[in-house]
Amino acid sequence: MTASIAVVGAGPAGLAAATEAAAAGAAVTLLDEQDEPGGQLRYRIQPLTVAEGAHADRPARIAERLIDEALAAGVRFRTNATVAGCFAGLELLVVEEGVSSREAPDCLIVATGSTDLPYPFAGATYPGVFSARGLQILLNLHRVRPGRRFAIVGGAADAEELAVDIMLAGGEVVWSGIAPAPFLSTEGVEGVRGLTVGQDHHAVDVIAIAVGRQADPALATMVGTPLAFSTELGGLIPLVDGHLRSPIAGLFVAGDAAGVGSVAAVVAEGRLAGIAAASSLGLASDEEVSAVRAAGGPELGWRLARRAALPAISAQPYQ
Amino acid sequence: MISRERDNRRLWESILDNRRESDDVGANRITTHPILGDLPPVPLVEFTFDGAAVSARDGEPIAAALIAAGYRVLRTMPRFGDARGGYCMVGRCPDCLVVVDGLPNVPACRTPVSAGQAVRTQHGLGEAVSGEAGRHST
Repeated sequence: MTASIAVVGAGPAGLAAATEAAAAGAAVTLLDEQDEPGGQLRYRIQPLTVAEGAHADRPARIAERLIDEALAAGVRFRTNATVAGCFAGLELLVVEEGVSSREAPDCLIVATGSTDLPYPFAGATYPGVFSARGLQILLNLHRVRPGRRFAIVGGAADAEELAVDIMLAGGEVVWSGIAPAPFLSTEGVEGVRGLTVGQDHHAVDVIAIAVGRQADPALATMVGTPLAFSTELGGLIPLVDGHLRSPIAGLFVAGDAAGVGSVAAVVAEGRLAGIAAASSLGLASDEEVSAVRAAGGPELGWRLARRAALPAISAQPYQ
Repeated sequence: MISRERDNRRLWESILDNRRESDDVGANRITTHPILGDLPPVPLVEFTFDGAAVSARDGEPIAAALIAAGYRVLRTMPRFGDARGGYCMVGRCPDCLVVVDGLPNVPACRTPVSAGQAVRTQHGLGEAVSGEAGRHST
């Protein structure tokens, strides 16, 4: 029987990992809880590069190419398939159309991406406050603008990208910036009406929280992968080696789930995890792994080196 | 705590009574977009939210249809009854759980609309309405 590899998350990292592993000869299943593959490439619209030094392209076109490559390599796609848990022996609990099943692949690659960091200030739970990516999904995927006037809490790249997306969607960005949480308060328990920043009041309909992202390696941690901490990689990240291997046998973590980064970096990292997983099953040589690693570009090199220097944190919350 | 609960109930009644009137925040469909182009035409379907008819694009999530129609409150929380109206839009957070055809705790951001669906605001943990829940197709 062919060695089986399950990849969870059909974003850029998962697509790249699945393609590489399938091209090496593994039977690869790519699971994603959304109804279509693509992950962040489905709802981001500003040009991105898929590899360092490559020409920038629209995320939708990058997704199309990555999906075509995966299909050509023989990856089996399963969308609307939520992997709700991972247990000893890499046994997965998969929920599809409300029916759960268990399966145990020989290798598991967790490419579950990242989630927006929360920012708790007064009224941050009121209707009309969205996470940055939640708002991008509404605007760019569902084509719904939840109000006219927007405020963005956050000051880095995520906030800038969101501000442009809002303006492209015909919204007005009334205020954007970062302030300590005690200086922010929201009016409108039944739906945002305004945001007060220090002494300044802004009438807004929607507030987006765009203070950054954090890795979401929950599937890897629930089966015992230790965590490390790195501010540059988005906080708590799973401890993986230079081949993206967790200390748990057969488990790999790649992409934003292993530390937030650019699309180019997570694609390169996905490819490395895919070939490394195939290699762990005897389907690829060490030279092939090294070649993929070398082709990954400087950001991948930096990520691998940065992680190699990190100790596991002393209090492991999930063990 | 009891007085707080009573306050919340009053708050709730006023919110639900005034919901449509107070919600003119210009929520709308993005029909033209400089990058994404014109909104492609799809068939419209009709469902109900708390009894009121809502028109939706076939296949879109319930939350997208409700937000586009100007609704802001999708559920209230179990402990203090505070309002929520969607946050992550990927099915992770509990802020858009609604009651669909009698079945509570349905994530509105990930559940496609279908014609004739009866969607209700979920209050607290929600309660399956006997007889209705059985009709849910999944």
